[in-house]
Amino acid sequence: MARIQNRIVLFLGLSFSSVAMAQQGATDRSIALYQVRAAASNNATDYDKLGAAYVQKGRETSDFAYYDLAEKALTKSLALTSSMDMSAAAPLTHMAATYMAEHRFAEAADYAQRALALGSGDLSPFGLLGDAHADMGDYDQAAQDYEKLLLHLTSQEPSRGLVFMHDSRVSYLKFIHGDNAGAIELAKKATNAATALHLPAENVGWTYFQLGEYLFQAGDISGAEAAYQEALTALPGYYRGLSGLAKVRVAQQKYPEAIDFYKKAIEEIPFPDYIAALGDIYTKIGEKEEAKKQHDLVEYIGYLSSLNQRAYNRELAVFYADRDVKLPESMALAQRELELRRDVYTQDVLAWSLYKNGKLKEAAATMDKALSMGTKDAMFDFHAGMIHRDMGDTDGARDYLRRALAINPHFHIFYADAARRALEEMQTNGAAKLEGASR
Amino acid sequence: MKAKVALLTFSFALYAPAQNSPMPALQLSPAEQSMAAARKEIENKPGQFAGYNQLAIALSRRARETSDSSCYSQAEDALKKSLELAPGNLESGKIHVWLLLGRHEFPSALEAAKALNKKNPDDVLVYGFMSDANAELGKYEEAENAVQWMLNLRPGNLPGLTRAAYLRELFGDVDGAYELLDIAYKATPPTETEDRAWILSQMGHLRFVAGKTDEADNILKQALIIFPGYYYAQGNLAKVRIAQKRYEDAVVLMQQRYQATPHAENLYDLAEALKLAGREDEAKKTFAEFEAQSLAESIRKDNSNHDLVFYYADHAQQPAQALKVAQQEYAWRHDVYTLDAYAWALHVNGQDTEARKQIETALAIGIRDASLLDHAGEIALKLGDQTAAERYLKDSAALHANGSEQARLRLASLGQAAAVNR
Repeated sequence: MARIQNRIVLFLGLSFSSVAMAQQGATDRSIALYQVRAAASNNATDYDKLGAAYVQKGRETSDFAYYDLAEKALTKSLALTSSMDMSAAAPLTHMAATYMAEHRFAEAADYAQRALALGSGDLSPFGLLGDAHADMGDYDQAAQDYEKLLLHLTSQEPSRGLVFMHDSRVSYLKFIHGDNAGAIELAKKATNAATALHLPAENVGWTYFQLGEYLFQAGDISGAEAAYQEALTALPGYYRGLSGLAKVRVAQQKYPEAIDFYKKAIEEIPFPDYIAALGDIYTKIGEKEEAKKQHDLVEYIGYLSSLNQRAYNRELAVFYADRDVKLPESMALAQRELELRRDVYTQDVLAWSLYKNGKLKEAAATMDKALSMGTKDAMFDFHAGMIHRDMGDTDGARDYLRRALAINPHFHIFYADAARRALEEMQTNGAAKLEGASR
Repeated sequence: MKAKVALLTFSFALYAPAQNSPMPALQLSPAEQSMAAARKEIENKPGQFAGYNQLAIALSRRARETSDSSCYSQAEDALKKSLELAPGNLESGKIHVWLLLGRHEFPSALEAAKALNKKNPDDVLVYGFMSDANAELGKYEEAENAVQWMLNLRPGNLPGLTRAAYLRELFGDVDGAYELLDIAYKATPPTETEDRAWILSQMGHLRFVAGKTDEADNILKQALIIFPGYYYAQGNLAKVRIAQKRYEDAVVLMQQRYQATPHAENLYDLAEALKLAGREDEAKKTFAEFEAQSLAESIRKDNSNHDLVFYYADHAQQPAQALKVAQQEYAWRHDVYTLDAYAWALHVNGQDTEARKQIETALAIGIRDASLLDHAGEIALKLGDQTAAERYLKDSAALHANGSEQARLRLASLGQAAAVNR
């Protein structure tokens, strides 16, 4: 299940190519160019640009190896910067972006702060600082950081780029705080700005994808579909756009099309949650063998990722919990993730995993933390509902499950129905109980 | 003058190169830690110029920490070594200017900065140095021009903003200056406690000179919470305490500041505070110490001659000495504070026509300083221009800042008490 994530949209200092240009090619060309240049000039700017190109490539491919390359180039750049000017601001900012992408939040915050401390006048590190704070669960601080993006520094017009960075991020905070309409409104504004600013196609695509996610969460399936389509128009073959459309087709119960979209997305990037979702569709339509194949693949990726550590902790924790396999491992993964990432989504995953491990009380307490921001995500309420049902809190469970279905009646391929069934059962049991009492 | 030195410090406090983890040695001062790190760098890479540049910067910080000017010559030596290894490197050139500014060699600093600027016309900090030197010499238009370049090249950069704020204050736009610093403050991450405390200290100063004593009080206390024992905030808060007639508190703060930064000018402020607190004997002793220290550095460009002038004029009753020192400064710089000191020295020597010319030149820059206005009032009064005198004195009194009290007393003696007790 793809979840709404706080992802970075940052100007990486690449030349903003014309929208039509195939982005991946442009990034490759940047990499090639600055490899040659940096080797020849040995100067800080060229290494910084090379590092920035690697970060962008990492975003486009989700291949973590590029972040290692970025780190190396940026370290080199920093060693070459002068202490007598502000030239370190750019490599420090790009280093923060790299760490953010690697989910090394504390380091990302540290580097963003170091970039800001140079006083270069570039406020974009506040965006990264806020992202790091948000992922560490400090949403108030994140909101403060994001507001700093709008400091009007001179009598000149406020930078439209910074306004875009602000809007796309604050829309996420609004979603976290349960203001889905507000989140959608700001995300729409951000998509317009992304296009007008001629951001790299991947950034434009991501901004539309984010809008699609909010619309889907709010149960506006056709709105979400249009947004995912826009993401694909901006960046043809964009895996996030494809996965979004797959989700829409699942909600519309058009399973063969959903399978197609997931397959195409997986061809681009084999994200474990896409593969898991594909397996779920096969299960749903009764193709057990295909389903097993996909689910085995997720486990294999999990095994691989355990080698390069915590890349997919959260995704795997959910995967195991959803399928009632490797439950202790699921819990351990979620707990490890929480040490570094204290946002509501990690709380939710840990709560779900605790529940599956039979630790109802702890699950409920953790779920309360996940819900403490008022986030309107149907999955949260579903999880809370199941936890409370098993605790015997029928009234609470009913409220949560009803709320989940009210937010989005198609929130999950299995769980939307599971929620309805659970409600019916509680109805029947309740009626049976009442009958028993009157007898 | 003092504000400016701190301003320079700020632009460098901004980036401590390559120090991820603090050095373990607890006894070492920040500058000593940087010196040790630089020496280690030189040891590791003896053929590279970067270590020598680091050492030069660290030594200049040490010079400010200790007032030991031999640190500057050591810094120059390090710089020479760096230039031998990499002739004409921009960074060394900038550190050279930075060292000249630290020693208040403003004319040479300006020359050197201009030469660098010609070769590197897009370097923000070189413009900052040009602005600093020009402002200290009283060439405000050139200073303004350089700051504008800083902000054009990198909109919103903090060294540019703080310098722009400094000039706005001198041009009489105190609220505008505050506005820029407020932005600078918000743009500085909370982890940068010294930078934030510096900005707050400056903001407190701006509120104080605008007569907003309570606000200044709060802001400066905030600075001391962020960065306990920060000498710059202590000094500014002491001035607030004096305005509040809490002289004993002012003395304590001035003492703390002097302990942290044993500069002659800080001794002068302490002596004045002691005098206001009625501790005549201690004040006398402290003034005498100040005189000795200040005279010892008087022939240097980095001196406390400004305070020495007022000491001879107002406390030691040696007007001829006051004028001698003032002329020495006036010979090479015409910033508003030098003009003020010179005018006052002329005034106590009975040369009020020339004094008026000088103080009005200073005020024409736009500065709204209660003390300067009070001086202008006294000078006009001596020349028999009662109308102008009253206008200056009323302006000074209305600011409710440092100097307003004297102006108010003079107005009262002129029978104008009703007019100022607004």
